[in-house]
This record gives sequence, structure tokens and C-alpha cells, in this order.
Amino acid sequence: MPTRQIRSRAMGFLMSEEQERRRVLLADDYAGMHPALTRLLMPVADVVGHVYDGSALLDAVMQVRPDIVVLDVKMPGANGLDACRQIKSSAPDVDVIVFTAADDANLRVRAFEAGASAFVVKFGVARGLVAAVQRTHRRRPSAEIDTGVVERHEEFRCTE
Amino acid sequence: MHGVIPAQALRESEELHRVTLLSMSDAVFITTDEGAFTFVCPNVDVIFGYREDEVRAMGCISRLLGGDLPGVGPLASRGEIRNLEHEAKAKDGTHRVLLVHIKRVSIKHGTIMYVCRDITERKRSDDVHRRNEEQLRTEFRALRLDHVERWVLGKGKASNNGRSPRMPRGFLDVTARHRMEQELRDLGGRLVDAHERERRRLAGELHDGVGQRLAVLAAELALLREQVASSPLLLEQVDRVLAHAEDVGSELHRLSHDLHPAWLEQVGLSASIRRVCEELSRTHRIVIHLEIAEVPGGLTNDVALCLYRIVQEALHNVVKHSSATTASVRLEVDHGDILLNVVDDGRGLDLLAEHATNGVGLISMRERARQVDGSLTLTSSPGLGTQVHVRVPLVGSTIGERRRMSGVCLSSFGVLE
Repeated sequence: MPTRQIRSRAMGFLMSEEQERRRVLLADDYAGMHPALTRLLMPVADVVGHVYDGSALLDAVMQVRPDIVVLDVKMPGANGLDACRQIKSSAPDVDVIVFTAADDANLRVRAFEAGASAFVVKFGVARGLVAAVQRTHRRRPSAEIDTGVVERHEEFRCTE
Repeated sequence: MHGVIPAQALRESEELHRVTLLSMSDAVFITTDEGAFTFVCPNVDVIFGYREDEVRAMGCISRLLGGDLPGVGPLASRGEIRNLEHEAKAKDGTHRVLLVHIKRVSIKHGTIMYVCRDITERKRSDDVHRRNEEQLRTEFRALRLDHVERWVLGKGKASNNGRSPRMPRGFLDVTARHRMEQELRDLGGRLVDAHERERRRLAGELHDGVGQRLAVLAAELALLREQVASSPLLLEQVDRVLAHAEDVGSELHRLSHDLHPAWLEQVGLSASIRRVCEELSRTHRIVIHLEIAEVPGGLTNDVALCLYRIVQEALHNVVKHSSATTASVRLEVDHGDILLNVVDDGRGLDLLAEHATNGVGLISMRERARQVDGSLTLTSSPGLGTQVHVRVPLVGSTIGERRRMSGVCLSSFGVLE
């Protein structure tokens, strides 16, 4: 919490939209995705962590408390939709954007049923992801963003 | 007087012929080339039930025997046709099986002679005999006194007097054949396994190797797009490249998913089957009716994959070979089994020819069903579409268990080998 407050104070006058910047946790088993998404989301969000294994996702969410999880449903170690449900039940204020290679109507429906806020097809990322992040997570005032915030990039890997 | 037969001798000869004919059960007819009777034997009623005059009144032999006997043409070239099996209807409506001899003659204006022998009873008893033989072939598992398992074939002959079939009276040790069949089945299973593993590997390479890199490329392009947003010309170009990347990406994903449905586990069997149906009906102009009952939870991945693959294979066959305009896929639960039916209205196939040319798809479908303790039946005939029926137990038992249950265990059987 202190880190966040300091940062907010320091940068508040430079970035009037600081309150609107989202903190994104990326859950994707491909490491190469991280730098590209970090830069792509730069104008609207900070990528604050990267989880490579589904079984480490929930721990990471509880630890980092991101605003948004960008979640690839096909990850080793977990069923992506189950992971989405777990996040929504353990940390309902965290939004999930399903980010997948599968452009499929059924999967889309299931993703929303599992509590996802948005569904973005990877190859259509130009049209979807930035807008989805902007749309998502508007309702929560920044004042409520609280404790346990880690203001550095972390990686979570399953040790097994 | 040479060359002239005395009237008395002639009468005696005719009398002899008459008596001979009457004492046989065979029926003899003589006709003209056009089939008009010139002679009908008096005992025709023995086989046909019609009296001689009734047959004469028919006028033409095709009225009695049916029109499909060989005509004058084949007879002219061969002079005689022997042992022709032919069916005709008697006066009381019963079908008689006849053995017909046809011969060229020249007697009293007649030119063709037909001799018909009734073999109906003989055929029937042959059939019964054959059926009984089949019924009396039974295979069972036996435990020898030293607890060695053997497979035994019991063969018996039916008593021909209508009593109930007797127990087999000859036993044959068919353990070696059983072992070979089992090995063949195991080999088939391993082939399907290997095939599935290889597909899974390829799908993984496509998705994780190529697909992920392409996704990053798309993300980088999206970034580039933001940076050139001020130049309409550049923006247009980047958008074009992006559209291509998106195209390649979805094609890649489709391919990878065809190879291995990675998210069968994610979205479930019903949704996966629905997807296959939607895609094929869109790309091949065919109407596919889908009817899926509530699939119970706890379906193992093996069973789900098996059913999914069979639907995939069966529908691919439909769109590739059948020229069908509609097909239907039905999945339901019946007494603890899952039933899957894939039916089309296409041209059907000649199963014998198909068997001869060795339909790999069919074999692999059947093998898949067997792998999860299920069975697959394919019915089809030219012009009548194709039906694939699959029955898979929900609660899988191992193949070994099932075999133990089906075999009759005779633990005191100690005399083999």
C-alpha cells in the first residue's frame, strides 16, 4: 500500500488519469507474449505480473491483487474456465479477460458463464485487447484499491 | 413292313411312357418355342396342385413357372440347360423350389421340354440343418485343473427330427486363435493410440510453437498500428497485414483443433460436437440435425475423445463420400450406456466392397469404440444412406474384466490338450 501511495503522489500531477490505469496480471504459458502485451497496454495499463502455469494462478491473484487478469484458457496445470471461476469466487473484484486463440462461440458463452468480463481472440488482438481493458474495471473507484500491492513485475511459475 | 411300327407295338410303347410318367413325381411339359403347351403330364398336380386341364387352360408355361426362365436364345446355343434352381407358386399359394431341366426336343409339334423336380423340402431341411449347426457352435473360457485358462469351441450336430438341439459333442481347443485375435486387437489399439499421440504432438507444435509466435506478431502489429495512427496510408497498410495475420491465425487454430481438440476438456463433449457439426454444415452445404441429451458428468476423457473422434470421422465420411444433403447426430443415454448415432441420407456404400478396399476410417472408428469397451455397428447399402451406431458404457470396465464376465467358467474342465 505505501508503495502505491507514493507512486500516486509522485506521478499524480503528471498523469491525471492515474486513477484509471489498470493493473494487469497476465496468465499465458508463452513467455514471448509478455513484452509485446506490456507495450501494447502501456497507454492504459501496467502489466504487473505474469503467470505461466494455471496451478499458480490463484495464489498469484491473491498476492498481487490485480485489477484485471488477462487469461489464456489453454494453459498447463489447470482448466482455464475453472481458474476463471476460482478467481471470481475468491476475489470477485478482480476482472478476467479471456484471451485465447480459439475463436469459438461456445467457448465465448462458457467464458462469460464462468464470470469473464470480456473475450478477446489472440489474433484479433489489435481490435480487442486495449479496448477490453479500457472498458473493464471502470466501476471500482481507485480509492478502494488497497493493500498488498506489489509495484514490481513478478513472475509466477509452478515449481513442479 | 420294314420301317413301319405295328399299331399294337406303338400302343404298348405309349402305355409304357404314360405309366413311367405317372409313377414319377417329376412334372414334364412340352411347349412350342413361344411357350404354348403341347403336352402337360397328368401328374402335374403332385407338385403344383393344379390338374392337367387347369394347366393346359393357362396356355403358356410362363403363367405356371413365371416369366424369368431362360428363353429360346440361351437354349439354342447350349441345346440343354440342367439343374436350374427356380421358384414357382403352387395352386395353394405356397412357394415351391424346383430343379428344372430344359431340353430341345421335337415331339408332336413341341420343341422345348421342361422337367421339374420339387426340392422344396430338401432345401428347407438343409437350411434348418445349417442353422442348427451355427447355433451349436459356441465358444467359452475354461479353467483347467492346473488353473491354466483355455478357450474352447464346442461344436455339435442338430438332431434332424425337430427335437431341441443337443449339447455340443465335440470340443476344440481354440486358445491359440483367441490369443492371436487378442494380439491383433491390442495391436489395433496401439495403432490408434500412436496415431492420437502423434496428432496431439502436432497440434501442440502448431498451437504452442507457431500459434503463439503469430499471436505475438499480431500484438506487435497492434502496437505498430497505434504508432502510425496519424498516417492514414500507413494505418491502412498495417490493418491489411493485421487482417492477414488474423486469417492465418484462425486457420492455424482450426487445423490444430482438428488434429487434437485441446479444449474438449474445457468446453465439454456436447459443445465440441456442436462445433464440428456447425463447421461442416457451413463449409459443405449440408444440413446436420443435432440432438444431444444431457450428457452425465464424470465422462472420462477417453470416452469423450472416442465419441468426439467417431463423430468427426463419420461426418467427414458423410461430406466426402456420401453426397448426402442431410445428416443427423444423436447422442443419448440408455441403461448406463451412451448411444451415438450418425445417420445420413446419402448414396450409401457397398459394405462388401468397402471391406475389400479396407476402409481405414471405419477400422479406426471401430477400434476407438473397442478401446473404451464399446461397440460400433455400421449399416449401409447402396442408395439407402449410411448409419453408424455406437454404444459405449458410461462406467468403463477394463477389457479383461468384461471378458471374464462373458466367459462361462468350468472349473472342473481338466481334460484339454
